[in-house]
Amino acid sequence: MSSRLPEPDLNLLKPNIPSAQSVAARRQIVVWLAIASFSLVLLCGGLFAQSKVRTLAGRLDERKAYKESLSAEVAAIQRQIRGISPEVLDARKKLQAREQWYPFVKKIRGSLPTGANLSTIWVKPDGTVELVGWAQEPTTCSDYIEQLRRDFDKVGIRSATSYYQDGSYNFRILLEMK
Amino acid sequence: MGIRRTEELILGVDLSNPPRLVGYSRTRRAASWTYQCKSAFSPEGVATLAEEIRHLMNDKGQAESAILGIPASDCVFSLITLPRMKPVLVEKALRMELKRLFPKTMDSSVARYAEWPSELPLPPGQNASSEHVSYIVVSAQETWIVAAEKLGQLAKLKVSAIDPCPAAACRVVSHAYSRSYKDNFGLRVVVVTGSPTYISYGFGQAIWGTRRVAGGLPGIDEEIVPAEVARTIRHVRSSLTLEPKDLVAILGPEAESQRLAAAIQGRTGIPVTTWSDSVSGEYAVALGLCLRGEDQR
Repeated sequence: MSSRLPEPDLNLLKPNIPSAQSVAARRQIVVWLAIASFSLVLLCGGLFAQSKVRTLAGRLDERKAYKESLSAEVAAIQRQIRGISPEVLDARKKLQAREQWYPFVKKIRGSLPTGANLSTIWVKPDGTVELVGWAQEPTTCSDYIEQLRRDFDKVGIRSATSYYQDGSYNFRILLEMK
Repeated sequence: MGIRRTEELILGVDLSNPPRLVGYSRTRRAASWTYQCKSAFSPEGVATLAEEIRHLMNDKGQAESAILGIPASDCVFSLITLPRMKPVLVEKALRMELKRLFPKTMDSSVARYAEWPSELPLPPGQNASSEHVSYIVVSAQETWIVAAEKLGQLAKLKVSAIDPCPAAACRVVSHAYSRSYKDNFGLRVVVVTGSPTYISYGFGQAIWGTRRVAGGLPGIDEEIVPAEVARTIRHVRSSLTLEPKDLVAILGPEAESQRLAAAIQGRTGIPVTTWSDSVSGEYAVALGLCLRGEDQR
């Protein structure tokens, strides 16, 4: 048997301790690669963000188009509204401008003289208010009209009718907001 | 005459100036041809030498592989013992140790290390224990390695290794004298004459160290070299008990080797052998390069 020992491998073509300069150069390459990778990541992130922005811009455009279509509908409705008679609009405006209905109705009931009763207070779409009731005496109805004139300076009486039926004097008064 | 294509040709290139080449047939286990280059090897420019080698190889036939030898004067051997540790830490520790030993040159040097065979003795001062591991480290300037690689590329050689020339010198002596010296445990001192003359010493193919001892001057070398050989042997024996199997071998031109052999034998009393092979002594190192990996075959 041979007693020859294997020779230590001293092949300098494959050094296992590189020079400090090579190590520094390799480190430099690693640094550059890291910078390049980071830049690439940033670029990809930028592109992704850009695509996101584009998507969002697309959605925004859709919303805008939807809003415009809604605006067109609103405009159509507004045109329809403009088509409503000026009286109705005026009455509505007047009604909107008036004080709250509850005090108004309360005041109408407060103006009612003794012996008179109200069965209906009807606010009509044309802005007029119809009062229907009855009284025991025929003069009570005219007293009530007089009282309304005194109590409501912004209310005009368009019409008032009274008739006798079933033992009482029924009346129907149509008020108009000035 | 060109070599037969069926033969596996290995090319050994000893880059010690003047560069010497040996074409070695692995089939026949013998050198086929030798060649001494006219151009010199220098890291600054390898184009002329590469061109010369390329022409030569066109004539001789392409080699299966080539082993380039870095001159002894341009590589440094160190034996460093470290506590047992992980391979990654070994590399760092060796780098630090080399930096400590060679502060001026290590930054631009590359190094290759291998574990020193535990069966073989260690030089004085090295810790030998189961908790320590010794490494043989060879380092060389990176410019030399880069130049050698470039030479291989320009000359269109299949470079498989870049070896330090002293390792090749020890290898060829170990091969040549393996019959008369049955084992590797005797000290080998190999004197390679030339300019510069250097001594490499170790056990068989495992090299302990190498150092330049003279400038290749006849008369003066015969005074200096025997003294250095005697000093080397004393240094090794200072901590070891060696069997009288020591061998001093001289590689170089025959006449010069004969003169040195007589001088060394007279000074040390140890048997001195001069190179006697089919190739001349000055090509022995290049032949040693060709023998790389022969043990594993």
